[in-house]
Amino acid sequence: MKILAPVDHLEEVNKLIEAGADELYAGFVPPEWEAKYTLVGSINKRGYKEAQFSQEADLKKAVEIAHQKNAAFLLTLNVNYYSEEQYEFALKEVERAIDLGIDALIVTDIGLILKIRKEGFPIPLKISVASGVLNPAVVRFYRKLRIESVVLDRTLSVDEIGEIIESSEGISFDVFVMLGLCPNIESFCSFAHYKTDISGMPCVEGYSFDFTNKATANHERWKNLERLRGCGLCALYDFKHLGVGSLKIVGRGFPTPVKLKAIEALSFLRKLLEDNPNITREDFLKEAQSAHKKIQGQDCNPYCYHPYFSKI
Amino acid sequence: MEKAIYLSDIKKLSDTDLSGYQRLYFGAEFCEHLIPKVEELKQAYDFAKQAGLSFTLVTPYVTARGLEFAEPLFEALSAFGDENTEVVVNDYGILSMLRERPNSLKPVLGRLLTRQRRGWGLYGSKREIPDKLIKAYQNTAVEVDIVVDFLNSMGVNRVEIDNLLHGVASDFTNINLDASVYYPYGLITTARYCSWAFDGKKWLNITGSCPRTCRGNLLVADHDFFEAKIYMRGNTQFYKKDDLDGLESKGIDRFIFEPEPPY
Repeated sequence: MKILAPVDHLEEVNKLIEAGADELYAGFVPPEWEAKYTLVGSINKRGYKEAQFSQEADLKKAVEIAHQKNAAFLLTLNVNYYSEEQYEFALKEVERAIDLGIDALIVTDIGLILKIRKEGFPIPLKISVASGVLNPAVVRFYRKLRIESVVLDRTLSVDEIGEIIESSEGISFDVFVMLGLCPNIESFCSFAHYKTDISGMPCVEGYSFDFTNKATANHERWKNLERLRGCGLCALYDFKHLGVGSLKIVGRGFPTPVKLKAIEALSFLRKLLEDNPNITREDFLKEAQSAHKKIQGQDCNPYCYHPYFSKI
Repeated sequence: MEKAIYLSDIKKLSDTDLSGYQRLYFGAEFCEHLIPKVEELKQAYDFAKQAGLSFTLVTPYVTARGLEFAEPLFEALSAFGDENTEVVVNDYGILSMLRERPNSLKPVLGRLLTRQRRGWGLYGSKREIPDKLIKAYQNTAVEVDIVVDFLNSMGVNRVEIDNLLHGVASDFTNINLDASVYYPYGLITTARYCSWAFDGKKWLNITGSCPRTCRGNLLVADHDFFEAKIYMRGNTQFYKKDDLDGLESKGIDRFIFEPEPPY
């Protein structure tokens, strides 16, 4: 299993790879795009500067460093859709990515995928979580568009992930394991929270109901969501046995120390599984929960990707 | 202009006045646990036919389990042999499944897959959203030639959208796709972390034994950030917009009335 981590600026590249990341993914909004559509209306799924490389030269250097250290570098072009006019920009970005040596693009828009394939651009495509891949038949759909890998929806259980992987030979799958838990299905969510000073976090804050019941209480539970605390470490044991390709860390725009802690925890647990092929699931869960406590400074929290395993 | 009415609760069928409509939409759009049983599908289909209406089955996004729930419905629909019957797909897996069946049913691309970005319209006067941004978010993912051709090749000749609070710029007049709009409820978001199915430790809908306690319940919320009210039905949140002005001139030839937010 590889570790796929977000990177936002040049200074992070070495640190993330040295901590254990095998693959990095990034965003870059070209100046001409920003001038026309604003940064909030980004060419990728993040509409704020902290989640973007600010200079093409930095991006180029970051790719070079990653390759020198045998790490892959992916670029996100994963908004829901592009207009006909925007394809001109998006396809220029595809060309730029190829020139820079980017290893794969993370994409959502069917139109962009079709255009990339039609033009014969020699670059692998990874289907973004924004595409809503929840079952093996969706994978069959995308396979016909000649995609190489898929980021699975973050709400899938381990069993559901297993069903997809088992019936999808030849496709590599990424699963979310750290940070960035969302209350809703990202691919079908319309909340705008691209820049907190404009939009806040409307998916979790601000609700007041006409009456209260169990459902409103459960909804209110998200109010204090700390996206930095999302964790799915317990599931690594199963992910290894299921044949998961990459363990994805959410968090473009998150602080570097947060990313490093997440990578270190994953790296430690991955090594534990490699060095101890006969470790029991029960023993692994203890190690995973201990690793969680070490990086989060507290026991398992409510922001668990796989609560079926955890103590909560 | 074709007028459709959309019911997702089988119990509401007999109380609903179908006069003035030409088509009945029936099914679950957002939750695989609420996909109707074959008997319910037959009941709804018969109800539509008795009233002289065409029939559309609505299907949600699904996991592998949901694919299994849906398959018998497609078998039953095929057996009806009614070429005017449609299936709304909100999951490309369902679309693949329909294409793989021997008796091809008529797929319609649902509003989850036309990928409108609805969020900016919710703020109303509570936030000043730049015009540039609003204009960038008034279309859909299905208006460019290469996508239209692809959808046509997949047997899709109709797509569906919401009536955006911040305005619809899509114009299907010269696009080789028919288009429908849902009203008055438009989608905001949908979740598998369903508030009705959480038992304090885990989500029962994800572990496979959903109690379906959401049925019959509707929550209405105010939101500090938004001018719009939020209507919560099961695992899904909606806004409401009644005004359909101008949509007919944009090549939208079917209006789908939702008496209440669907499941």
